[in-house]
Amino acid sequence: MDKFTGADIVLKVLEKHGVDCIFGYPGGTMLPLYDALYQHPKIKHYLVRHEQGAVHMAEGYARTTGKVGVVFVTSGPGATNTVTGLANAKLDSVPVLVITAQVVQSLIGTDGFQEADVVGITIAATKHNDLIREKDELEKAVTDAMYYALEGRPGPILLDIPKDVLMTDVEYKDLSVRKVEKQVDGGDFADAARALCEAKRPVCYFGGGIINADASKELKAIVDKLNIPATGTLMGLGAISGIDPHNIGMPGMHGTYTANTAIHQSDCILAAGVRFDDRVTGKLEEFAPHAKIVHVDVDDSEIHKIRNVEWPLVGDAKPVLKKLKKEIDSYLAEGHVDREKLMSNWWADVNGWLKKNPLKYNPNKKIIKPQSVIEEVYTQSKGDLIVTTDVGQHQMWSAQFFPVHEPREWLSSGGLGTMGFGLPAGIGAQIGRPDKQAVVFVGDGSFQMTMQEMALLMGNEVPLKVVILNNSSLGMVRQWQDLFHDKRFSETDISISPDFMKIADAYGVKSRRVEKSMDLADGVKEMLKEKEAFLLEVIVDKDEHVYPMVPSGGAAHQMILHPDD
Amino acid sequence: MVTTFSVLVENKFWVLTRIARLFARHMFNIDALTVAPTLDKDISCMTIDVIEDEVGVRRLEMELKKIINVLSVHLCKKEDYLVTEMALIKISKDNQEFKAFVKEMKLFQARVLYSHDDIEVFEFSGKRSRVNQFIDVGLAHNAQSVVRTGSLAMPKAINVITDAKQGA
Repeated sequence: MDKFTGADIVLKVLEKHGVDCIFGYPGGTMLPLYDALYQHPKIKHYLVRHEQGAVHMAEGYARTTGKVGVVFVTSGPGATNTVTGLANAKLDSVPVLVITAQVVQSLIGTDGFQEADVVGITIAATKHNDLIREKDELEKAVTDAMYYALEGRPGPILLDIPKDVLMTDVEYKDLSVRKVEKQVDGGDFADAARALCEAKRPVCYFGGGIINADASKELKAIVDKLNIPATGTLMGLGAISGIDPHNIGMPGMHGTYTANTAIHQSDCILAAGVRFDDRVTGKLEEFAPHAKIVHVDVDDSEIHKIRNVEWPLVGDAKPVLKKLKKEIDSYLAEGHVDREKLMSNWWADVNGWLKKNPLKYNPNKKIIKPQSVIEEVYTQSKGDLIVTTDVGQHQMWSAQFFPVHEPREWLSSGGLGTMGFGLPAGIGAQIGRPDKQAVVFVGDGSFQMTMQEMALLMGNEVPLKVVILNNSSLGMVRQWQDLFHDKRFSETDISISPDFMKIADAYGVKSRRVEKSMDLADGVKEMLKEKEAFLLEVIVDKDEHVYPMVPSGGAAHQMILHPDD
Repeated sequence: MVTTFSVLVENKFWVLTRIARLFARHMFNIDALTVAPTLDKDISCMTIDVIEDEVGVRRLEMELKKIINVLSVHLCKKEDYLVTEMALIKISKDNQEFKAFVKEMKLFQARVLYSHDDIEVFEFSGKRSRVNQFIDVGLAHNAQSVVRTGSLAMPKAINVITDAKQGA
């Protein structure tokens, strides 16, 4: 058998798994791996400017491609800087593999230079992590890590590899790639199908699990067959097209009146790839009080975690929904229920709510309303974009006013709500999908958290479009201060910020600032026409609030509507 | 109520930390813990006692199964498992209660683990309620000190050895 250094082994295994790009940042301990990388020209390395950005880029890449996003960082601070990205990937179930170099084993535990207890620090932020102490275990560890990232509920894996393991020669065993089995683990499918078919007020509540399982087609087949209203969470947007006639908008804190009301009145919910997050349920006791629930999830620890359900269907959503559809078809074929009649009353109610309380804002000829920026980008692009957002008001407006057409074309930080996610995730998304234009909506606060990653837009390698909705404040916190803290705007004014045009210029990125409503359409047009990266800054109304809104801990059906309603 | 988990894990660094963290993360306290390698030195058996309600126990079971270094998780139900604990009691021979105490120890069939000059140490193992009684007797007779283990569990059925997760 041929011998290679540990560093070579890592790259050989990654190549074997089809890894063609890596996001990372070198360092002293990581030198052997970067030296080996120099000799593996097939793998393209993207040099980030902060390790948090590397993980978000890998997340963006993973979410758009369905493949594992890979990150290389050095020991100590390089590794600790990945923690936010890892925690983000954990909460949003994103498959990433972070490889951290560790100091030589003789120095571990001695407080050596750039030594940190990386496994200890990241146990809680990863699906799995490990310190590789034996050179002979390295090949299997990397092979397993690529498998664990994707198997079952995807998530972040971290391997901490001491420098001596990276430098030592070891036999390459050429282990085969472990195939991820997509299977049905269990559940009473026939009874669940019967319940859904007989329901008078059914709702499909879908989430990120559908995207991870690539089960959009299977879910849509059920929604179409049963003709039921469907509401997608922030993580699930695009699993069923935002312009599909069954889609009634997002549920939860900033969801639509229709989605929250339909859930509240529903007698049976198909909850597919969701985890009943508090941002969706609001006050739990009043969430879907009349509904029996069919819960599809790959992770059985999610079953009954927040809400007790009647029909848990455990397994990968794709085969699970396929099987459920079969049962639905056979139940309907028996002719027990008149679906058309059942649904006509329910849709009359749902359509009434859609008409009575649609998402709204008041466009203004003078001050630009942030929602109008999102709408303008949507209209001009006909929605044919990959959309990435950061976290805050702009994120909610993007979710509300950019109906995402396809799965894997919407990326946002859902569970952790990580400011600074948008720009690097957008870069990763654009790298993963060079065939399609990606755009990032970001606030002026979020942008400044990771704006150093603009360096990756230099040299026209990543033609990403960045739209900064600048309201000179930390808008979402300011909104809460306005509504719940008597307008005491404590530390949410960031009007003293850099000139973003100069920032763009410094990075050699074309840019334009739009301050008047009349210039908005032209600004968006210029951005979308541009072949290279582009930064569009739009000065927007800082007093605009996101509506509807369910106050924290409030009942979802008792939301605060737009003041004009 | 005390629930006992019998958990087979890879005998590796960090595994104990992962499991301890998991309990703390969900705000559950480990009441008692016994760990030792199995006949296969690469696999350890952890017997974990928790005081939790049914919902908490189910949650822990699910979460434990998600840890990649965990090979199997069993809830030790009375019908299926023998569960035993052990305690040691140290008592001074000068103690006025000593003779009465020794008499009681005979009823427990506790054995003398150590005897030296003025000290004697008794060992007893049995189910939790009996161990509690053993300790109560010690305290009632002014024992010097008491120490106890957590549970040790073994399936009653003859053919249950391990059912390690595939690929682990």
